[in-house]
Amino acid sequence: MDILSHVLLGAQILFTPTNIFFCFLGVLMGTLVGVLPGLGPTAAIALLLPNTFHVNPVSAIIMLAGIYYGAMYGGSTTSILVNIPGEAASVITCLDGYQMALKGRAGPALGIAAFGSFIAGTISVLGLMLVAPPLAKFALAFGPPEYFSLMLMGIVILIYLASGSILKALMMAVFGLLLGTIGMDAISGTQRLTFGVLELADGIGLIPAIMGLFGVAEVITNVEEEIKRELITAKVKNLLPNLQDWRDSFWPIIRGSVLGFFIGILPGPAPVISAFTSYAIEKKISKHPEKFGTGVIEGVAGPESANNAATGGAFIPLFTLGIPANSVIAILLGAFMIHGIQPGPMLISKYPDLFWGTIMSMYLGNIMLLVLNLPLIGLWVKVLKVPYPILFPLILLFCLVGVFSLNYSNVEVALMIGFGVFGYLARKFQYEMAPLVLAIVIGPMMENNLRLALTISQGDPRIFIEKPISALFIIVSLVLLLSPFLPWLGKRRKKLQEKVEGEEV
Amino acid sequence: MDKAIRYNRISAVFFLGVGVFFFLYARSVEIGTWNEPGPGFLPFWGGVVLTAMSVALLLMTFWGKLPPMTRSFFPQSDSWKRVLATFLALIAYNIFLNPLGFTLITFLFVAFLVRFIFPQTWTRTLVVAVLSSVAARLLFVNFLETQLPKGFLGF
Amino acid sequence: MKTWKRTWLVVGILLVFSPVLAGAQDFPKGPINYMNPFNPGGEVDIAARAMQPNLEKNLGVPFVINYVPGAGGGLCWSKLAAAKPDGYNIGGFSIPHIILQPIFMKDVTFKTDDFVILSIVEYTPIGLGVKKDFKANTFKEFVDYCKANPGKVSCGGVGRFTGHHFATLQFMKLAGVKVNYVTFTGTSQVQTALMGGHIDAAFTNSSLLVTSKDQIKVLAIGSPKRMPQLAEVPTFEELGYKMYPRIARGAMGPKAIPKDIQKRLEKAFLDTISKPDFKAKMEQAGFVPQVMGIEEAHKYLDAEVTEHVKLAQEFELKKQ
Repeated sequence: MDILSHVLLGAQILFTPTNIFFCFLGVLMGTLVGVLPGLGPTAAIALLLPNTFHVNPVSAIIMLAGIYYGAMYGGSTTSILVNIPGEAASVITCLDGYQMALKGRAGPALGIAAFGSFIAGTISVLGLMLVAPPLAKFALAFGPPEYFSLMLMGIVILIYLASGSILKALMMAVFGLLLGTIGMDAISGTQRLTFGVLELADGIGLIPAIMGLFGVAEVITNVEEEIKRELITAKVKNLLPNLQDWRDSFWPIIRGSVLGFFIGILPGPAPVISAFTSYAIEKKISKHPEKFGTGVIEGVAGPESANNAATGGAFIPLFTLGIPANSVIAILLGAFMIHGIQPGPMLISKYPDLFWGTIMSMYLGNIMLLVLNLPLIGLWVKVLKVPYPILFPLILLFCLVGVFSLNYSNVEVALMIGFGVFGYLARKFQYEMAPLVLAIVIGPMMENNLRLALTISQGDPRIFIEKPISALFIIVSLVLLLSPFLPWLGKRRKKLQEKVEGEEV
Repeated sequence: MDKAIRYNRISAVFFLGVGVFFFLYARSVEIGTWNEPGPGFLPFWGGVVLTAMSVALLLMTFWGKLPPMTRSFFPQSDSWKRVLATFLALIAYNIFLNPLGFTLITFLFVAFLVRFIFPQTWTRTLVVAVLSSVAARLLFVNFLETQLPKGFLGF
Repeated sequence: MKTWKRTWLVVGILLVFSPVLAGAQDFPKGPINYMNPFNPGGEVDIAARAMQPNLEKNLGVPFVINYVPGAGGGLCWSKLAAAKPDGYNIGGFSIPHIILQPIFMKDVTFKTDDFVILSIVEYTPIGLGVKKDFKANTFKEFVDYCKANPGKVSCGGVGRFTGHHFATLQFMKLAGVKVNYVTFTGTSQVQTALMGGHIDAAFTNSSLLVTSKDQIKVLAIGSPKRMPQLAEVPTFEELGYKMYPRIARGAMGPKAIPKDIQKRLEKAFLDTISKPDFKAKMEQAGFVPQVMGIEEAHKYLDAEVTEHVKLAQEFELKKQ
């Protein structure tokens, strides 16, 4: 296993004019599509897939992979600038990223997102290169019980995202879980709350919900008052992160990358989970957790790195086992098969040029992304300078078209508007959006896996504790749930101690 | 009445209603047992939990301390007009997208919002509306090949 | 003056009727819209993409694949049933899904006989796979194990009222055993669960069994003869079980498409799928290629309808 020779092989494959061009094209298309709210990597890849048939498989995969993480990066741009996440994983970036933009620090936010993503992407590609096969086994060890416990832990983590009232954040989370039940139940086939609308059979679409809660609601809230908008852009000073920013972001980026990579191996909505887990971790170990949600750079650096690293991690099950980790990778898998490449454990040994060529293209792609996006930061900031009376109809337009073009469904557009109303009112009443959205993502998976696990064990709940990985997550969840109370215990002891000392003196 | 108290009460009642709705609904689909949850399991327990939390919030408005809310519901007296107009514009877009076709409805939508929410001059309005509908058309239909509706006028 | 008027009259009549006259002859005049009921990369997509280049050559117009996923295919089929029957709107299908959904799913608005099946291009036999370290190594051992442990063997499949579900039910009836059917939302989830040993067994598509055959044990297959990609795997028939579970796929359109346009489309599909490179691609991916035109396909469909209705009654399944 001579890694250097593999790397050279990959480089040889990659550095041909054709493949470099395809890498660039993929990254460009991906970023463009990612920036447009509503259109995600799935749409981009589906659009460009036909064009790949005329080229050889390696070039095709290189381009498609480029689209994937280009789109992931593009999604953060809109999150920071206008508080509209490009896809679910970017929801977390909105929390602090947008606040930074409001304070005139959009440049550093975008910059650290770019650099963080680059570093994370590089780390995850390194990981992919070095440890792909053993890690694949790790992914297989996750079955329904493990997934349920992981999701449960995810829900508990959601609490930590709350910057305001925890009770209200929890209420939104439970509401999200309930909304997640709408649709056809996978296990029994029963229609739940679909009211005869076939579009709802797959549940409430995530994109209409996000666009409504974040996009529409945000715009409508802004429309209430005149002026004010210009003030924000006038204060934009630096376009890049300064030294302090780097110092603050360094460890979050490293932590986020490693975390994201490992979570990314697991099939499922890995970028989402890694992004908010990273946020929760950064908040927990930060010296100033109360500042999270007001625009701290760690809140952008960590999650952005995590979701990019998860993107790299998602390739592992694809290359080693032929299993798609999410719907985007599923398309890539289909592309393999259409090009006559048989996916499975033998893929790396049978098609080394494909594997190593793609890996090298990821390095190159990450560099291209950085080079492409940094100069664009100046451009994006200028976009913000467009007077709001003219800008906001365009934002709304993007939301409308983005949602409609997903499934050409007016039902989903109506859903978005409905969520817009709800989001608008929720802001008024001081409820937070993020727990709701994340619960809608996690809820169905959690419920499904709970019932699957119980079906397999025929009703025996001990399966969750008997399986080691699952037990681990459950323990962590309990610890997280109880830990807010531990400092209180600690404080009491300290007070007692002080009292005693005071008396002694 | 203190604003914070009033708003939290209203929202608590809303979520109370939602919670009750779900656990009542859950009874019409199978709830199942703890060992064998049915399709109604999560709606039922989720509804119960939400109801309990709403009650807790409601009680807090009577007894506990809540963070104060300073903003009034509508910051400016005519805010509600703009909010309502924008929502209606969105709904109208959805309804008329298919009959009128993408390019036309986009033009009308942008023009309406630019002109009537934060009024700009007619020149500005027309320029922005035309540019955006044409650019959007080129981007989405021609470049990205999304199938957006053509209205009765055929474009 | 009179001649002028007459000329214009003739021209006018010709213009009015020309679409009717020309309609059949020069179909297709524009791109064909093919609606894929599932997501990109799935089985329907693979077959469609394999056919696309030859179809475009044959028909002389672009063959545009659009994705309309939802409700396990039901959304696409509901829309297809209501689409304009001009030959420009066709789509993919799975049998037995289009048979079972109208019977068992509320909310779908199509019926099985709303469509004309233009061609069946392939099918994936359903076979039995078990996890690598499962105690049984042959089909017989598996049956014995199930008999000794009623209801304890977990057997995965995709959804309810689908080919996998019915295959499992058929097996249980013929073998006289009871297994624990576990529903997943997609084939790749079944694959992961089986490879990871979280479920004991699964009745699933041949394409999956071929791809993961080194990570699992394949005990039987539902094709009438052994599949070349799985040469050591006996068929159910060989083992004494008369069951041939499979999922067949192809292209269909709304029933009211004019007959000559149907014929034109049928020809395009038949010419494409009889080409050796198409067949080779399908076999490599674990499919069994077919060459069936309208008449043959409908005979097949009718036979499947009869069989599934019978099975449904036997299993006493209710509408959801």
